[in-house]
Amino acid sequence: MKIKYWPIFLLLLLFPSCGDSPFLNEESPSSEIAGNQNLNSEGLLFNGEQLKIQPFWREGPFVLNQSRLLIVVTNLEGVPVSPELELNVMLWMPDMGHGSFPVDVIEIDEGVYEAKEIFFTMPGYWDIHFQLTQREEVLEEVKWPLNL
Amino acid sequence: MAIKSITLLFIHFFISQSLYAAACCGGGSNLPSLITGDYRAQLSLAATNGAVTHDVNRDSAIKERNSDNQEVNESMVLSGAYLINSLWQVGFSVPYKFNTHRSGNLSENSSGAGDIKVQMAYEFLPEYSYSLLKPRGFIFLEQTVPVSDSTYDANKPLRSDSLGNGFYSTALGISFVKSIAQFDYLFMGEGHQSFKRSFEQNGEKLTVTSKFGGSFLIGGGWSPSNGNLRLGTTILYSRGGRRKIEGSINNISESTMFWEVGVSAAYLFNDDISVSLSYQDQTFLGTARNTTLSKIASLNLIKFFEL
Repeated sequence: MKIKYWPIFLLLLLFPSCGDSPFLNEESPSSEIAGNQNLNSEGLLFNGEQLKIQPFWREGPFVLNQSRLLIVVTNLEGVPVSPELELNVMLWMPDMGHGSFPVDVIEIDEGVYEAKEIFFTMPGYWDIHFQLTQREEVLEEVKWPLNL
Repeated sequence: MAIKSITLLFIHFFISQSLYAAACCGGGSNLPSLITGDYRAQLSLAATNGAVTHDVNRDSAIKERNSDNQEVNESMVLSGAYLINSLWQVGFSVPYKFNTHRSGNLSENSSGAGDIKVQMAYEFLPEYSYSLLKPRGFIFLEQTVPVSDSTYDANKPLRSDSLGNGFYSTALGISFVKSIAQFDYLFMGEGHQSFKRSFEQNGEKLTVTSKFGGSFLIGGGWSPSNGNLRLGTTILYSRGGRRKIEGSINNISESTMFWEVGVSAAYLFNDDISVSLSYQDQTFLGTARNTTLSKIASLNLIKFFEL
């Protein structure tokens, strides 16, 4: 018996489900976040520039949703100062070998920055790289580890 | 006729298995679709629906995703193979992908062409007369051409527009198939090397060098009464090499690894068209490292052209 092909083609076209899948887990997330999300009062030190930075979460950290950081840059005496170099923030998964969406960093006051559009695209171990750059060249950086 | 149909149905597995790889993490396999029956050419259209259900860290700790972190990867893949002569064949694979990433209050989707693959294969162990033990053997070469954005140059926040792996990659592999009465057996193995490539996004420059990766697949099938129905199962092992990253970030990543178990049912209609439904589960064996794990359903339609 000869069969017609078009019902099979139709079945193929109906197979995609516009972003849904029967394999998805619909359980709600727990609020648990692993790892140490906060730094001690010493913050992170740029040895070369003799500057300290102290990041504070304004939103998050979340997986997939936008997170925001407030970053305070001070000299060794704890006085907020604007570095002569540009401050850049980069997200990186060292085990996976990839990063994420470019983080938007805006200086909102002397030595005070807001980093937004922080998207951790998957759970796991991340490094947040705080970089001092000049003409897109990284001159110094410190890392803040994060487990999500 | 009965023997012919069994042999033909081998190829369903090869096609469905070669489709899926986590774009973020490397890995996956480069197993091509091969003509193993008495046909001149074949053309296949496959629809897949896969969901990333688990994340695995470098210590092999597996964590299930929840409703706040959903990633669905769908694709339509057109692939084909053509027999140049009795021993040599060439083929291609062109995917069109639909990726959806969802969090609690953010949703993003992207679609477009995925990485294109072209291949050639040589049957170094042909079966001119029946032997109980000797299998048919193929050696194949496959080239992947990255035509879509990867995780290194995607533009959307949740990276749904990462539709490919981002690297030119060459795979060399070997395959054996054998049918005995109502049963068939197959083995495929490949090693692949991706080539160094530079990416730039928002002034951040990265050069990525991937190390050697590979995969192998073992499978078997049963065709009741040597008829047109075939039920089969496969086990796939895939290992992705480390990546060396230089530029705005300097980093050497960890290698990736996962196992995948697959089951399928296929039916041959009219001697020239077959339909198969398959399911692959990368979580089933519970062994993986530094990757994401998915569950994938595929519907595959293949048209065969006579010699």
